[in-house]
Amino acid sequence: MLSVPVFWRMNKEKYKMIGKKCLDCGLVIFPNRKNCPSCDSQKLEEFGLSGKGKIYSDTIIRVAPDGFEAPYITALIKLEEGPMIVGEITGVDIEDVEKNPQGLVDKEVSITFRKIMLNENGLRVYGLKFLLE
Amino acid sequence: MTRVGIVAVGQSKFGELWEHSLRDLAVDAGNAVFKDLDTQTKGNITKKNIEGLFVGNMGAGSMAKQSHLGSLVSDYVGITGVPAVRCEGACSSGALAFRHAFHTIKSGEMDVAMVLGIEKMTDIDSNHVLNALMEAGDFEWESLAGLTFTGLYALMARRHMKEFGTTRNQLSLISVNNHKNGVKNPYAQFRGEITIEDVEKSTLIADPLRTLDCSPITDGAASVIIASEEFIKKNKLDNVAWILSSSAATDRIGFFNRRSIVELDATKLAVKRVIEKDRVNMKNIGVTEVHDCFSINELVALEDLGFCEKGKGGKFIEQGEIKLDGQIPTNTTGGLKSIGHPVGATGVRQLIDITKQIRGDSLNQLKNVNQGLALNIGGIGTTSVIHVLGKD
Ligand SMILES: [Zn+2]
Repeated sequence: MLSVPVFWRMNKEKYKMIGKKCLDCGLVIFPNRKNCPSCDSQKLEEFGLSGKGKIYSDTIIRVAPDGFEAPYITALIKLEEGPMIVGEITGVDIEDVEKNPQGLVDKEVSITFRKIMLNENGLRVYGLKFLLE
Repeated sequence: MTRVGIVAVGQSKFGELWEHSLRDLAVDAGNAVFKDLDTQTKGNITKKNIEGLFVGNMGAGSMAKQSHLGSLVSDYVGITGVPAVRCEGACSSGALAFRHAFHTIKSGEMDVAMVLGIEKMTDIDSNHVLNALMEAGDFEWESLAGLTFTGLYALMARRHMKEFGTTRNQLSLISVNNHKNGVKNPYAQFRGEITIEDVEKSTLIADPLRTLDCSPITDGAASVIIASEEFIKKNKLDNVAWILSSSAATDRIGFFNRRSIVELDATKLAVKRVIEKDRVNMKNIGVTEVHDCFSINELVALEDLGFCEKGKGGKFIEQGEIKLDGQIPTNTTGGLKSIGHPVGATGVRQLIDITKQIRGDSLNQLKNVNQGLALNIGGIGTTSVIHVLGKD
């Protein structure tokens, strides 16, 4: 069972979309790291992301792990600042999406904050999801 | 440095084996490999010759509430006292354990080592199995976003379809071929042929992947015994599958952090080392075992290994090149799809089936096979491990 600090320490990233920018090579880093994955620099500063991006690939999860309720749409989203991230697409009708073999690829999205899952101890975990523009 | 060869192989039944515990599976694979050792060496070599044990296992801690498998397995298979360790690299744990055993013998530290890959997956509910398998992905940014392993491969499939025009039909042919090859396999979880229609009517798990695109949840164990060239020559062992190359590579843990999601850099890096470092001529490979945890992964693996061009995997499969009489017979005994996928055991099971093709006692024996290649993948190309075995 996961304790509260696991979720608490990700607050800045998961609630405010605050990532990092490398002062040496300029790479925008999200989710956060302590070292730049491109040039290995440790000189990074906080950098707020817009939460806007484009769907790179998506799927409808129909068999969910513990804590989640299927069906839901999960996508790889290419954020406008560069990084890619995994997120659920909310506010769309799954019956419409499943008819299209291309899914939602190339659709523009922006971020929203919702309940993600119910933890084993009843803790409601919030985090980022995406809405179609 | 010494060469190393596989001198004996053996496995348990693969399937949903409710009557078998984790340790029962280890014993079944152990007894099978010791029986083969007895046959291959005419009783001259026994378990007493084994100097070390390498266990491949991904998730016994989460799925069977048991860690410390080095000790547990050495105890139950009857070689207590030898140094033993568990190696973990998700679904590539089996091949990684084999690779560490190989290195230990190459170093001169041991002459004979045992490798045993194992996974007990049906002691917990299947939705908890999904959680346990996702431990192979990025917990904070994939698991907590509700992604599953089928979901990850579905993202790969959808993108491959978009970029290269790969079709539903081409993916279905992969599962059809694997089931066909597994019909005669006494260890396989599923031994029935399936049709393209069966695949395309099966339940969607993560669009576009359906039940029959996915390898099942499986209990099983597989084991091999390997030895140094000096030991093999001194004891006049023949019928050995020599290890011509062992290569492994990693990629970034998050699938969202990859250079590409339609080709796996870890596989490409590993195969580059096979060719450049170990001087394997890929044209000599007559049989392959590739990691078909999901149909799309077999297709991408064939491309990444260079058996066909990037993006042409679908066509290659359509032309029948992976069939027993094709250009590169693939998963000749059923693959993960038909045999089952007890994750820590799979990498070792693949090496057993390549060994049998080299020795000449495969259930679907091919003619004139001198070299075979096994690709075991952990996660989604997060770790790729390649071994090439040969007659000499
Ligand atoms: Zn940098």
